[in-house]
Amino acid sequence: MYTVAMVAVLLTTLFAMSIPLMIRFAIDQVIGGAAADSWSADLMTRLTGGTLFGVAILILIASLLRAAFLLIKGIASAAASERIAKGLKDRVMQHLHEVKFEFFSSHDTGDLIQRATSDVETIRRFLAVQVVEIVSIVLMVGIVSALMWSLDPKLTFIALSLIPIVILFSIWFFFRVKAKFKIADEAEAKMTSMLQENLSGIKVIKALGREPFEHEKFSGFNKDLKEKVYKLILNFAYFWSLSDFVCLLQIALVMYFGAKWAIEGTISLGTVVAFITYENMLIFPIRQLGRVLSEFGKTMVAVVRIDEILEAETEDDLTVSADGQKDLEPEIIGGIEFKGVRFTYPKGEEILKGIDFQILPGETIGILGPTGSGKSTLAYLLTRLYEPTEGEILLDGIPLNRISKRYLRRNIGLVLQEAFLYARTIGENIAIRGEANEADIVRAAQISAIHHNIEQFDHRYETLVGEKGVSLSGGQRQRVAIARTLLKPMPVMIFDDSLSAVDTETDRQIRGGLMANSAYSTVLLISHRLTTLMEADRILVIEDGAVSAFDTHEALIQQEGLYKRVWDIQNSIAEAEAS
Amino acid sequence: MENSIQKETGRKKIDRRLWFRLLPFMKNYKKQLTVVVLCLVLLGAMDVMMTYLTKHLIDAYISPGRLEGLNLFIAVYAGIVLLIALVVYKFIQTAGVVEAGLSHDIRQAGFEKLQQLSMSYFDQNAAGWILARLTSDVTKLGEFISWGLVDMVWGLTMMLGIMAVMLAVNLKLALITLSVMPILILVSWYFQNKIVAFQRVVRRLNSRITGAINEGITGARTTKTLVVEDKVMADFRVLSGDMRDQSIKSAFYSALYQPMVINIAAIGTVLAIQYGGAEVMAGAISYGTLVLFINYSIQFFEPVREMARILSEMQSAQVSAERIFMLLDQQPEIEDTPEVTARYGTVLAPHKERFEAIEGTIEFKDVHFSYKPEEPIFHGLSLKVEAGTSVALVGPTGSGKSSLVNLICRFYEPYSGEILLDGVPLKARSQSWLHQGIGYVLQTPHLFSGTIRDNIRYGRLEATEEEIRKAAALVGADSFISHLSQGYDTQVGEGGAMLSTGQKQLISFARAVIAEPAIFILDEATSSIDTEAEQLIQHALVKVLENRTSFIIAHRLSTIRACDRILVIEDGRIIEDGTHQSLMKLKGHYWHLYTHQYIEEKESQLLA
Repeated sequence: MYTVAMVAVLLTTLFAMSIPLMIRFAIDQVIGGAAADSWSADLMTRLTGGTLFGVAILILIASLLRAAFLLIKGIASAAASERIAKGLKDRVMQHLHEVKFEFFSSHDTGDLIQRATSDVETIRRFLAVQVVEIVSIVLMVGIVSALMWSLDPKLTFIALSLIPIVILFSIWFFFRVKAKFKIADEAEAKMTSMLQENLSGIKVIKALGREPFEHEKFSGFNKDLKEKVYKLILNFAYFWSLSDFVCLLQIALVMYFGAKWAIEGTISLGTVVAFITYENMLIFPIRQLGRVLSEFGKTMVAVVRIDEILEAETEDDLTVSADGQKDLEPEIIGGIEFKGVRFTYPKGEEILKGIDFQILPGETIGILGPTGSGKSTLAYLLTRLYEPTEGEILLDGIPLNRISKRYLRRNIGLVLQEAFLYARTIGENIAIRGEANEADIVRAAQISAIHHNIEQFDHRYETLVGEKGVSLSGGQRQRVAIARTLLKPMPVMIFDDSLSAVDTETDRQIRGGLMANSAYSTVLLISHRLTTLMEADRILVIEDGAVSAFDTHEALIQQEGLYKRVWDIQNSIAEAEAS
Repeated sequence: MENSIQKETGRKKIDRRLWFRLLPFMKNYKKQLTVVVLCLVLLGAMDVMMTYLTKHLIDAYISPGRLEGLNLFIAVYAGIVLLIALVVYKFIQTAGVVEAGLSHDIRQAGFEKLQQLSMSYFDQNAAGWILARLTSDVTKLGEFISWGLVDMVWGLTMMLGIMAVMLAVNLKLALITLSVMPILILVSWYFQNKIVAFQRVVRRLNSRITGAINEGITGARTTKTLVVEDKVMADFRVLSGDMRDQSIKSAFYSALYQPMVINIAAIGTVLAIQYGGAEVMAGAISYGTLVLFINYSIQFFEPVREMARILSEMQSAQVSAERIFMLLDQQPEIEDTPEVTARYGTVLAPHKERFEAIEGTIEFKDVHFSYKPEEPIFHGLSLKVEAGTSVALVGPTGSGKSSLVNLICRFYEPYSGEILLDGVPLKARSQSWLHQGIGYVLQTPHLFSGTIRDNIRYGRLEATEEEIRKAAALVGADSFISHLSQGYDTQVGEGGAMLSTGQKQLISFARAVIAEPAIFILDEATSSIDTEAEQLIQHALVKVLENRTSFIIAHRLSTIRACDRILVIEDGRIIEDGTHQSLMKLKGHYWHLYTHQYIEEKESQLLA
């Protein structure tokens, strides 16, 4: 596609440049009756038979061809750049879905979005507009110089004399003006961040009656911005007027020497007219060269920023292990064993300091521990979002790192604390893991105690979630996320504090449905709520990266420890009353 | 200027009235705008003249073979070149004054409006949305007014000039050359509609794609755990494919338009050569005239090619203008009456010397209130709080605690009933009067970037250094401040990011205390903070509440117990009212809330 665009640029420039030659021919040979004095005039004598009508037809054909190739250039460069942009967007998105889980902890979401949108757009614009622009300027200078030379070498010399100055001046200016742009941008950034603070603190401002103070402050920033913008424009005023002056002077030079030599009889009238036309065509676009080149700098920055994403390490899924065996996809029953598992987050402190425990298939396990003790890490390790730094995890006796990651995650339902829903309908959100009939969706929603909420929406299960649809509360979002996990029975389910925004009563209701629905599944419940934990078969207590207790509720409340201390509070209402 | 818009775009899609509304803003730049228009007319005329000079060069010097006077001619030509350069400079510089100034003025007007709007506006509109109105939209509009219109005026002058000169030089040849004009107008009209329509489609798709990228990245973790990468990517590919196809289609029309104009222009040129050439041979016109017509037939169509671009810029500038006016037209929901304004001044220019001192007795009389008509909050609330009493407001989320506070601060107004402060209805006094008497500390304390000193002084701008230190000491903030290496000169960072929540809380206490408000309002944070900070804040609170009427949306037990009076609110009604001891004895809602909270607090202390 790009080759097509480039060839089209070449042809459209060629045809555009041929028209002044034809006009010259009309003036000198046809009207003036002079003998053909150049190869182009010879050619045209043969083509037109030396009549005005013939020249007119020739000009029309040339112009039609010029227009046709211009159209092809437009379409081809748009098609090429749009395709490249789509490919790039797809690749960035695909890559972001393949990178390691930890990538998102070390990268700012806003910055990533910026890269996937505006940086890609910068590259697209460069490909669509600027590359073609550079090529066409270079081609034009080449073709015009050659054609001028064929007409009169001496005048060509004059006609090109100031062009290097224009080019250098334009490049110098556009690179220099970048600094001025930066100054104006900084002034704007200052004003914007002041405004942002004003908006986020508006309640304080209003409550303290500080509007006049804020007004004065804003006026200062606003005025500063005005001055900086004006100064920037002033620079352009210098540039455009100066470059206009040089360009028009160049034309004046051609006119002077052209007229002088025409009067002296060394060149024809038609040649003078052709030179003036060429000069007009050539000189004004040349001034853009500096701008285009400075855009090139911006594009390179965008390329580097996108490349940083594409270079990020991806998860290796179907790796072939050292002994040549491929990843396994065994049937999963749900027996879990942690053997001396240690784990350290990249650039962090050790969070798990040797964890050992065993869970039988079908057991429901509650997990309790202070914030930062490593509860969520257990869930991440089990789904291979992270790999242990030391030790081993076994699933039904098979080392976890031998099982395909995607297969593993398809069989482990993990509900995160922060429930993320897609901008689709509620029904589609619940059925996101695969095809499901309506009855399944409703059943999952019922178990998750969200069905009656959904029924109240205008479009029920067809209601869109997000900006363009309903905004759900934190608790509602959590329940939809649970429904999404419950849609298909899974051998292992992990709820990472995923009912924190749901009230105690609904929590109980959901757990009831959950137990009935997943009698054969291994369920891990990470929670702060004792009422949630006490119904589990056994409770795993994690403190400071190690297992401090692992037993039934009845046993745990008999022994001193974190669990008992929490439990005691429940029974300390009398104490509360007394205080 | 408006005329030129109408002429070029007399179509429904251009909202004429909207553009007219910009007139008041342009008034300040009458002089500059006149200069710009004059410069442009001059430039257009000179562009026309330069081509005419070529005709003169041919007819007066080249054709007769006359060398004398050529030097003078070129000198005159160079003089005009210099003049053009000067005019170009003057017009860009003046248009720069207009652009920078207009953007400044519109932003200023927008900001002033914002400071007068009621809280409801800020509750309903996201800060990001408002911010974009005063930044990118204003920039876009300012740029268009200065440069888009410039291109239009210049193009029009040049086209009119060329037509005039052609008609004057040779009527018949002019009519022949210009005979392609009607086709040009038709083609332009058709294509510009198409191009604008397609660009709208592409813009819409583009915002959808941005949304999809946004979702893809924020939801990447969830996508991974659900193993739905393929599904998400498949949908994304469809969308980006749509975007590509529509963009190419849109590019097709833009790519087709320019060649069409070129061809129409070529027909004009060809007509000029065909008929003009014959006339030259017949001796009816000069070589110079022929060249003049050929050149004009090319020059004439240059501005036309630009029109498509200008029009699409105008479309997006219009969208920006619409949004800006949406903000400027916004009426504050709460406005002081003219009588009140006459006495107490406006929000931006209050007459502080006339403000009466506030005692702090607050009374609600049969107050009815709701944010949305279908969801009433208060239906006949009556309440009296004596000056100097501290009141804790407790109750479930959405019960009306925040609404009560919002009404006291007059961020909102009841739709019936009234609120009296020291026996005077709030409406009878200005908002500034009320607000300067209220100390307000938010759940998430908001600090402004600047030093700690700046932030405390924000409560009372004329406070002395000593008063600032005293206020900090009173709330117990002085100890941590003196431990900072820069002390009061420590920069707090944007939004106070350099400090801990507890420290921010203390500074916002100091900020409230320094104003010596008669009424104090605290929206307490739900999230637990460490025990040390808790004790510090508790200590500060006792000092702050002393001798002040205060309302506290309380979550922490220690805070609730420190208050003189506790109101339990549910569904917009006060269901229990009394001291901690009396309500505990009641064993009702308060007892329930309290014990529940007690357990939560203890639990979170253990698990933190």
